[in-house]
Amino acid sequence: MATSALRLENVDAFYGDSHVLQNVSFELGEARMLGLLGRNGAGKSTCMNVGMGLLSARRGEVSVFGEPVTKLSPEMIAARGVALVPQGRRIFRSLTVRENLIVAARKPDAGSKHAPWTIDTVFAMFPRLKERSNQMAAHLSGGEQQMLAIGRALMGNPRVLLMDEPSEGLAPQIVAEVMTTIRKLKESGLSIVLVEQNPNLVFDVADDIVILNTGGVAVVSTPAALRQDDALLRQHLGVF
Amino acid sequence: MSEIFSADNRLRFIALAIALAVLVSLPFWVSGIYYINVGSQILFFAVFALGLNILVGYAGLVSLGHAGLFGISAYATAYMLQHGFGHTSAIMMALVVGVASMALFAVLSLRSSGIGFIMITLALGQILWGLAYRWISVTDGDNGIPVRGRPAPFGYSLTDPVHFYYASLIVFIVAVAMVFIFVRSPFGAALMGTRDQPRRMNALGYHVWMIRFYACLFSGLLTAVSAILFVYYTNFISPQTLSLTASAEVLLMVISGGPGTLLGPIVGATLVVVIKTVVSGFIERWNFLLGAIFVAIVILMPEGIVPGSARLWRLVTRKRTAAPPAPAATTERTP
Repeated sequence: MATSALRLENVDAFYGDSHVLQNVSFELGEARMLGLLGRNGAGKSTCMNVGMGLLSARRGEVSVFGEPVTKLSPEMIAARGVALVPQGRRIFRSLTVRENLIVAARKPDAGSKHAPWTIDTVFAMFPRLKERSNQMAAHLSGGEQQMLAIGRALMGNPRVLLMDEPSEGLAPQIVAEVMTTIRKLKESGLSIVLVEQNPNLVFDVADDIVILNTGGVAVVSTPAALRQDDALLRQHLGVF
Repeated sequence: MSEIFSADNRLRFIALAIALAVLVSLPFWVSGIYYINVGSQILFFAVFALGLNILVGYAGLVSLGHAGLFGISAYATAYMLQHGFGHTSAIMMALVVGVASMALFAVLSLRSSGIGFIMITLALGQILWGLAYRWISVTDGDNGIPVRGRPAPFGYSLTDPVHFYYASLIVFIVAVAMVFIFVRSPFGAALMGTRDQPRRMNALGYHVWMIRFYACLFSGLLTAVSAILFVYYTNFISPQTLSLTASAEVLLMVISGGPGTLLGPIVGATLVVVIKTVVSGFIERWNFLLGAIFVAIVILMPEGIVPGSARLWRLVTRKRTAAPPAPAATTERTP
């Protein structure tokens, strides 16, 4: 069996008294991309927060490369090679582009198979960020902010990248640019969870698909199989 | 390299050189010891404000108890000297006590941020003020502790006000350089990250509490340094130095000048010290004037004098030039 990069097993999570995730289980294989789909409020971002340790699972287990991280703090999970590109970018608006990247820099693990990400390699991937390296991040366009959020996550030299709706609020042309970047990251061997509302974007790049519905896993499948099943997509995503 | 010699940076270097020349030559063109002493006060209060600015401006933690920490270091110096220790021992002890007290402050107050942090620091500051008043066997209560003499490093006696001014200037320049390096370092960026988005910093692998704790220690160090200069300047320390008004005053220096900027606390300290010591000689109700100035700053430049002036300057220069400025020029951080 292939190594699991990230695994959520029978996870229950709450916001106060609201039972948001109910018995959620899914697995991200190493060097694979998992598309996490679902309607608004289905629990996609909550899964990302649980994976990153920003929200504690009240029941169940979360593991990274086989190591349990359920009770660990976010900084300890980050130290194990997990990085989050959060919904809404959440860049540091009062820092320059360069400072946003520097602040996230972390040396790769000793046994890492990937070439390390540095400020130069991030700038090579996003030349527009290099042009604006001394500019305050607050003054970037939405697309540039998204590039910065991705670049910032990469500076941590992660083994697992959690991307929460990277296309949100972006113009179609910019979305295409972001998706090209995501494809390159996948090709580099990074294990990625891509959360999206738009299934077409995910089907083009993901290896596996998990659809969440009202806090639980409704479907585990592949893009090829789901493309054939309009009824299933209509039922859980309300599209097609 | 071209970045270093850009027009903006050239302008900054020229301004810095002029400011340094003015500060170094001050005793030659200012008439009377009184104004040289005012200069010394501006310098060490600026160091105090720079220390508080680390927390208020860069960490987003508003402290209303910094006068307590300032007072502890000042009392430590005075107490050591009173008990026959030399200046070196007194200064070293004041630095250690100041930083250790800040560490204790931080452990207690960093349990929360926002209004909780303000209230805990306020309470701790008031406890120290109360101790200064009531622990008479150590502090001599309301009578305070007098300090006799000033040190003479390398045979250069600081009893002379001009010499003391130059000593304060050297300490001030070192403090400004330290803060500049600190703020521009990755740690400084991380600290600002914890101010803007602590949860995000967690997710990036940072221990937010620890970053804030180290920032507190640096702030405590600068506060202790300024307190040592203060106690040697006044040759006296009393509980009044630890009062809530004193904490509010230094906070006003930071807020009026511009929190989160290097120049802001220096400008704020200059404003407050000049009004307190110079303008008060001409205007009986100087407190009223100080209040009116702060109200005007809050209304006209809510971000503080330095960022507010930078904003006005950009508006003026934009109107003068026909072409709109390049985006980078309009969005770089205020010094």
